[in-house]
Amino acid sequence: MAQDKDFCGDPILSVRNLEVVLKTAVGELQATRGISFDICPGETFAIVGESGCGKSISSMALMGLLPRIAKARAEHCVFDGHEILNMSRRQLSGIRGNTLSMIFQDPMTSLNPVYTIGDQLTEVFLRHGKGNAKEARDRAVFLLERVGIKNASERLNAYPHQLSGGLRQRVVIAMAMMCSPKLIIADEPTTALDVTVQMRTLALLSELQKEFGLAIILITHDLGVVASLSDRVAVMYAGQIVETAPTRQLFADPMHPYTQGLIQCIPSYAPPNADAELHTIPGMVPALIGRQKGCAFRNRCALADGDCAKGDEILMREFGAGHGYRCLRSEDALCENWRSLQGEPA
Amino acid sequence: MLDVTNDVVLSLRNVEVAFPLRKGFFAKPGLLRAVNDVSLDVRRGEFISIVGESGCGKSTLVKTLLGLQPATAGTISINGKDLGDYSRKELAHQVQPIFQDPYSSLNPRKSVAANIALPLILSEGLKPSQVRDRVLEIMEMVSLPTRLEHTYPSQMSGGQRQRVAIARALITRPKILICDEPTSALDVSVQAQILNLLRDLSRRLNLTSVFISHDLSVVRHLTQRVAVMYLGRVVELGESEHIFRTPRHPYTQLLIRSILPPDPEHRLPPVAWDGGGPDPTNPPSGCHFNTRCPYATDICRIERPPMVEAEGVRVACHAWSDPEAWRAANGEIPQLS
Repeated sequence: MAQDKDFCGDPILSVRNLEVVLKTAVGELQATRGISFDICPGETFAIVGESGCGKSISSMALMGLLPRIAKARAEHCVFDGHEILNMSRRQLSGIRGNTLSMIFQDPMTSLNPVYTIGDQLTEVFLRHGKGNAKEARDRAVFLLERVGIKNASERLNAYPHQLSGGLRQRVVIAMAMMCSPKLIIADEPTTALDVTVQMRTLALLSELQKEFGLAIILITHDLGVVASLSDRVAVMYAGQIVETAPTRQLFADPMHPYTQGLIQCIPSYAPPNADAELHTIPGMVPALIGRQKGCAFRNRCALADGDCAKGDEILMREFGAGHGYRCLRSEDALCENWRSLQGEPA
Repeated sequence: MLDVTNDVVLSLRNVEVAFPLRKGFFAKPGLLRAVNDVSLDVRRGEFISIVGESGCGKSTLVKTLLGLQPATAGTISINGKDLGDYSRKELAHQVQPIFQDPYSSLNPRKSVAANIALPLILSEGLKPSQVRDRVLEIMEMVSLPTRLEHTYPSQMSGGQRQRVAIARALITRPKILICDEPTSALDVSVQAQILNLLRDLSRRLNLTSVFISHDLSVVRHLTQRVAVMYLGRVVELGESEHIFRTPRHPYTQLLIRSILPPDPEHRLPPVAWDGGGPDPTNPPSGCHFNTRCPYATDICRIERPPMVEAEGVRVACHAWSDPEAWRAANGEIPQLS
């Protein structure tokens, strides 16, 4: 892989060629193929893509939470020195919630409505044998205060329905922090929240990360979230990482035509030109039934030709340090395309 | 009022929608004012947005405009005639909705053509065979291939379904289109297609559109006027460019600061957690926003600010009722930092 192998010395999570296949009534569906990345300690790695691109299912595979119809294989998938893909349930549950934890999209469904938040927070701590009930309680109060919940010791007795959406997501974040994890996988952590609450929740995550030296995998469809929080980004399309780069680099010089289109079709928060149409990507995401060939984006791509349909997959090519993309076109043609999308003269 | 009366298509005067609440069996029934004293004029052919956080009453207002939820006070008139005087069938030719989620707003057991034709069949008592031409014409208008006529919603993508919903809304040739977060369930690349389509259609058909959204970038891109709602009240109303360039109300400023632009140079602003919105069943007295407002003073906690004209926009904030007096007393005037 042309990817950031020597980007950081000792990755906390290293994934090579992760492939998830779903058995469906109409045939095998290749949900992801050839997913490879390394996460360094303390960094935020964003995975961005549209629905159905395989971003959530890859993270589910890492957590061992795949549905029965799904099978995951990989060259390796090493978290903190352990191969996690073929672990037994018992071994996995020693890691999940402990050194590897997860924040889900909807805080109402990820909290149990019949237990108090105190019960749910301390359960993680006690389950992993981090200390006794008193210590668990102290840790819960400390973290609730840290995530900005006032009267934390009283709030421990509250039930999830007594809290607002923003507060619930804070409880979920505190819960993910209970055992001092090394890596948190956050799957659309702010999608269900209001804009004002979203901004504060993201600011909190980024503070916690600096304070505790966490690594975060941030899964999102929102490029605004990616831009304001992440250090590095992988753009996924139809089950593949089509481009990966440091965040600034990706927004400054997107290479893959899909990334370029994606950035360009967001209504920018700038004084609008009354007649300017938004850029659109024609067509839609292809069905992933059966063996995939060539570039999955070729049917929607303005630069595609016959070669794009050939071969098993388009190889990752390098464009500067840590920046790779899967496209056959020359660098010049891609830069030219980006300039013309932005409406600048060549 | 700013507007020329004969050009006003939709007019709201002191509209209130309240729901009775009973907290305990013996408790006195309370009142939740989801929409509280809202006055608004919408001109013909205009694209107006209503923005605000969840719970601010924007969806209740939509239901009221569609005649699905009666207003408990105030008047709503469409083309000069009171909303209550329209029959359901007549109203279907005036106002049509497009909802947020195209997965639940289409009937899964009816084909695309049947879904689109239904409002026309119900309101004009026509047979499906009599409306087929209009269905095909409208499908073409929203760029749905006519070969999809006999497919079912479950066979379509989110973007195509939303096109079906738009076609269904347009088939009765309504004057007013009410879009309740029409793109928030869609992916960004599809969102752009739908936004372009909506703008194009409203220009071509001279539609008046009321657009409900929480995504301010979309609102700025699309609309000419914006109404910002907070806890049932309109707190700021004006030309979209004015409001986005120099928001007056501290709440509008907070909303605009919360936008995350796709720009890696943008840093998250350091803001203290303010506990989020207050309880709508027991809103703070005075200005509803005073509990979250960095500028709030005593008068904000006691007296409700009137809607005043401030440099081209209308804003309900004490600081803008008399900016000179406010500056003399408190030093600073709310501004976007």
